[in-house]
Amino acid sequence: MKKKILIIIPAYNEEANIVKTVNSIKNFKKKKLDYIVINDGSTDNTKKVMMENNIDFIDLPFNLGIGAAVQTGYKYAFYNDYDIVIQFDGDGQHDINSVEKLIKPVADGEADMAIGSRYIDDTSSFKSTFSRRVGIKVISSLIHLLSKKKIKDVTSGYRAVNRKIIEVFANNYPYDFPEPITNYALLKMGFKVKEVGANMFEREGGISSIRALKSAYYMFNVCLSILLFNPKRFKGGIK
Amino acid sequence: MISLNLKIFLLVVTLFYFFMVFKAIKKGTMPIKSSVLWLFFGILMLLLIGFPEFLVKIASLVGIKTISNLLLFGAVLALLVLAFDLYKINNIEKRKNVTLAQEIGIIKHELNKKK
Repeated sequence: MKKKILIIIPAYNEEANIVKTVNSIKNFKKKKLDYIVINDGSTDNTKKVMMENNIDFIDLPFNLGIGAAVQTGYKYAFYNDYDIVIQFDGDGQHDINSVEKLIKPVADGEADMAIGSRYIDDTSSFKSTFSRRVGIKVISSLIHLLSKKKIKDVTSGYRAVNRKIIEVFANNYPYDFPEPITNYALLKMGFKVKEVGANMFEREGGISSIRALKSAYYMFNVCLSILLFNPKRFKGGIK
Repeated sequence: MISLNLKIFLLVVTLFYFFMVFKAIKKGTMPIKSSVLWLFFGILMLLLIGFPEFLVKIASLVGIKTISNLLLFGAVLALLVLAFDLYKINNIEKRKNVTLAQEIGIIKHELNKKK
């Protein structure tokens, strides 16, 4: 049986990038893929631009933040019986040409979730800024320490998951720092997670001290969330 | 140790407090269930006005030198507990709010598809 695949694209004030991002999916020749954009209460012209370009989107009544916006997509996928969901950024950071590599292990049953990784091989030449890389290393090491499993690109938002995880996420998804926390949660719950090389593009250049501080703050928060994580709260199944 | 003037003043304040609580219950802005806590605070205030000696005993028991310090400490602690409780309630409500917004978004999408 053919698997039903959905791409979830959260978008908050992405008027400049969203059409390009969605067109890259629409024009992807190798595989026909459904998509849904989640407009997370954008205050710019994102909604108008999407209507003009005939883009299918869910319009949230106000801004919920990245975690809740992505979860909306998982709920939609759960209600509409999708077999595989792919998370894809609305800002054009992710390369659609890596999508088949991401789908394959999940479709073959080799893994419950595949993470598109910048660090596992040389697929991506862009490896993020220095301060962010340090943060990712620390979080990755902590997860390794606690779960005995290694995920290198632990903050990657380019991921493919199967039906079981769609159900878990539809029911319970963290609002803050969702990627590293769910990665750890799934490992703790015994799901199979696999990293595959994926290409990503750089968003913008320049390193500021504020960004370094932000990375440190982010890292501290994520580590705390992981240390205080309670797997009992995360048990799946739609109520 | 506590002057009659002060006693009367505190009593008036407390009575005003009770008036506020009962008014809120009557108007339905405060559910009976949570009013117990607020009434308890009022009764505590009345007891302390009536028997201030009690405070002296507690202060010496825990090693606080003056009653005013004990009262301030107690008040800050009570407010802290209250703020913590409200913070938790606020977060629970936020979660419900998010779930509602998500479902509304999905339903709106379904309705638009049918058009």
